[in-house]
Amino acid sequence: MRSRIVDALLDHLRTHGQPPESVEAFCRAHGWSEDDFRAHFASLSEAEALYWDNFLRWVVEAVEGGAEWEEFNARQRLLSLLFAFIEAVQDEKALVRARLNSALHPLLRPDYLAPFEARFRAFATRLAERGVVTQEIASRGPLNQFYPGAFALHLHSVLAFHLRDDSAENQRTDAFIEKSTNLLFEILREQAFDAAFDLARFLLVPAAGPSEARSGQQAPAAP
Amino acid sequence: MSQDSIASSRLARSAAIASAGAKVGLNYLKHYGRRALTRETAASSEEKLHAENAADVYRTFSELKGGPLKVAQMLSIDQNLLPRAYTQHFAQAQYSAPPLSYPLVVRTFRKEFGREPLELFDTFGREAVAGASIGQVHRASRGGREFAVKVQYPGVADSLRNDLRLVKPIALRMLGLRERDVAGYFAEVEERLLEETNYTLELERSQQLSTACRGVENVSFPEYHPELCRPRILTMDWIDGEPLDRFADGSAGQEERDRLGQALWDFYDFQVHRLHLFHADPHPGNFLVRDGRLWVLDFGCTKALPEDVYRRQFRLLDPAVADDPARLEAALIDLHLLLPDDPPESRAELLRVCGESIALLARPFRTERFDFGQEGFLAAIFALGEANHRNEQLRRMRGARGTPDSVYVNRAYFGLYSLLSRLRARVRVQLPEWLRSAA
Repeated sequence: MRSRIVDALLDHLRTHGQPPESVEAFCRAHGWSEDDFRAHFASLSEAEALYWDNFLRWVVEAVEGGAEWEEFNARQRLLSLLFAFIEAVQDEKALVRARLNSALHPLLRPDYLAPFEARFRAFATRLAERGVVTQEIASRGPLNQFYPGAFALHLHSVLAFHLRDDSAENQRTDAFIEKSTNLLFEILREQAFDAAFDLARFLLVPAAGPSEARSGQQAPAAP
Repeated sequence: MSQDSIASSRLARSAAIASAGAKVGLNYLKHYGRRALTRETAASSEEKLHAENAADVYRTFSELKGGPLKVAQMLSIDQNLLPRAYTQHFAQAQYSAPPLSYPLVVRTFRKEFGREPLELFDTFGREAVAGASIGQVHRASRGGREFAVKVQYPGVADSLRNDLRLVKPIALRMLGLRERDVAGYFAEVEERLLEETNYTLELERSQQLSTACRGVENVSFPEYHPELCRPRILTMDWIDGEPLDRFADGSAGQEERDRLGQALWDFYDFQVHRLHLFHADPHPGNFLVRDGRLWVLDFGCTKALPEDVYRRQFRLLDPAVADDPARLEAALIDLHLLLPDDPPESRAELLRVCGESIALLARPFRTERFDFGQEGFLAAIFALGEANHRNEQLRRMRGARGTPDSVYVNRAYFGLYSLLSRLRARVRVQLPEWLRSAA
């Protein structure tokens, strides 16, 4: 029943590009009672989440189970994952376009992608640890916690590029994965990451001094 | 990545090229400054200037890799298009695509064969052993046999085409060439470069030429393996041997040099004059010496000559044509080296220059045995090219001259002469058969 529910939901998503209006409507359309559904999932999101989590799990397990995985450095591991991921996307392009690509945006984070994200972060954390061991990535103490986020952003950029890529055999996607991964590792290894972090902190953390001065100037103008 | 950011990376490239343009300008200033201050002779100062400019331009082009470096190479193919300092610098430019990571190699295998390298081979080197011009070479083995596997960078043909389109006008302006005058030339070179990205054609040509040339003495070819070849993967036998340039610079005796030189000469002679289809990239890296034989690798760059083009071009070897001004003039008009509306004094100068060039380049054909090790032969070719370059009257002549088909004939013979000189080989030479009977 569990897999029948997920399959039916995916069919709906493939056809309509968005989930059914409610669990009730969904169940009615398939001749199930809502209790049947609730026995397996608390919500439609939870059912969809299972699919995306499995989607990534298969990709990760496939690459981590590869004969040469243990010998790969972090860069090779990330490249393998991205190539395998794009290969998996191939079969479900419409679904990925509708439900994964737009939702991977860091500001959206819908519920149905939470397990997917958690699984990717776990992978990215292992990847960063590997990179520190192989000295491909500088260890920056507490800042290391930002690495998985950087890898997640990169994954999203690869996916976004791929969905627009109309080159023969998606050769441009392959080149993009290759070049952007090289750049990412250059950034994580070199000073650039530190400089970027320094700039980001400067821009994001409100500076007390000038804003006080400004409000001071505004004071006389306000009656 | 958005279109915007792709466009901005193009912009960054243009900016890098513009900065080389600025440096060239600066070098000109230095040039005039130096002349004013040190009363250096104009000629030697100009030489320094060209050398400095060439170094700057070359540095920029090589930073950019990809297409721009290919343009640099294109320009260096014709020795007469650019001052010598440029040609020398650019000739070093072995275009190299960025290396492919091993996962990308695996990905390419999966796309092309549906299988991974280790499913096809017993061993497969994760690191490339060499860069090929548009990909890289991995060493592999299966059942005790060793293979060289060439893997192509994804989308290389497209990016090459884009880069050339972007860079060509800038390069032309920077180097003071007229688009109109060199358009045919560029088209020809571009076509050959794009052919290099076609491994299916390369496999076909490799098999065709290595079969046809099997009878050439002391020349060998690796075997190609079509079942292990795909549009972006090319597999041939691995050949251990000494690169020809290292062999030439080594301690080999005269007899061995002569034997290999003869093999090289016969190989080209047979291809050009019998097959009218030839290996057009006589780069020392494409030849290995093993067991006293010459091994020819890499048929990525080949040129086919239509029969009529071939006849027009090589008629110049016929002493009866070269030594008779009227027939020479007719032959040069045929080759579009002389144009119908050239004024008489330019025509006379061109005739003189062409006659001189042909006499020099055809010199090996005028003897039975030519010693490429002799002092000054190659230097004379360079000097002549240089003199033609400085020739104001020639420079003022415009128009698209010559036939684009000649570009690779010249390149092949120039490369051949250079290699033979480096080998200091003495080679038995014969005129092509159809000219022997005519002579």
